Amino acid sequence: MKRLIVSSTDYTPALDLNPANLTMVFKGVSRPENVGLFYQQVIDWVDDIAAKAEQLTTKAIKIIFKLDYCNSASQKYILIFLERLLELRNKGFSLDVEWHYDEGDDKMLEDGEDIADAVGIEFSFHTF
Amino acid sequence: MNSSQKEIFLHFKGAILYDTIGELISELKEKMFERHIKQAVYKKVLMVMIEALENVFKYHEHFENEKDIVEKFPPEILIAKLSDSFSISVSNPVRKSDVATLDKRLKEINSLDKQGIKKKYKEIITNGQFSEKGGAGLGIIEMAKITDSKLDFNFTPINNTFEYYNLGLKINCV
Repeated sequence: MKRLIVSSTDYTPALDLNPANLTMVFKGVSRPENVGLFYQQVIDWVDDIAAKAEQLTTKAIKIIFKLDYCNSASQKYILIFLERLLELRNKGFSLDVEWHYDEGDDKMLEDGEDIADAVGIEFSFHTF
Repeated sequence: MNSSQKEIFLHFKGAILYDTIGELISELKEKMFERHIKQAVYKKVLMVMIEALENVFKYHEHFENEKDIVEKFPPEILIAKLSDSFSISVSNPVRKSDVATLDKRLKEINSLDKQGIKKKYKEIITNGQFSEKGGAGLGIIEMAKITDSKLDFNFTPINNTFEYYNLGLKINCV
């Protein structure tokens, strides 16, 4: 299980998915040209973690979203990513999702609320 | 400024490439900052612009053999500030054979209230389906979620194969 660290670009968010403490951070903007290719590495990483779930020492998953904006195709992949994590919750892991948004940015707040509602996970909301 | 006056914030006419969208994002951001537009309003205008242009970009990837139609009838985007709102207008050529489906989709979304739009969004975001080009099928519904108006759209015939599609939206400044 490797830590996945990806730097941000003008179009894609920085990723830091750490198997040691099960903290997963998404930061920046998200409108990749090939959204499937970009998010597949995230889905593959989660699948790898799920396959080795019994080897993990921590059972507390923390996901931190600090996105400036996020296009609709990215939202759909974030939902798929969270659905995968729900499967881990069913195996006894806890899930803590933090959604950070710029104060006054109603759009990003609403995106977080809508994704939370669609996936059926309660998010905690924080301003930058 | 009275309601008939408008200030152009962004105007672009030409082929929409992936990098073009990035350039237009920078241009809009700069203008919004310069004119001290509230973050909440700026982000809504920005996201409508991104979704609209990504739709144009993905659609036009299928136009490889028909570049002349894009040259003669190029996509166009106009973002203007009115006294108490922003208007966003996006136009591009579409195949006549796609018009009925698009028209039906737009009418269906326009028939929904805000709750109905949220329900539709939830239905599409959870269906796990993507187009060949990675489209999530959410672009129009995402714009409908953001706008403070109905989707104002029309199709103008170009020739036997193409029509020129225009989509207009409004975002309030409050």
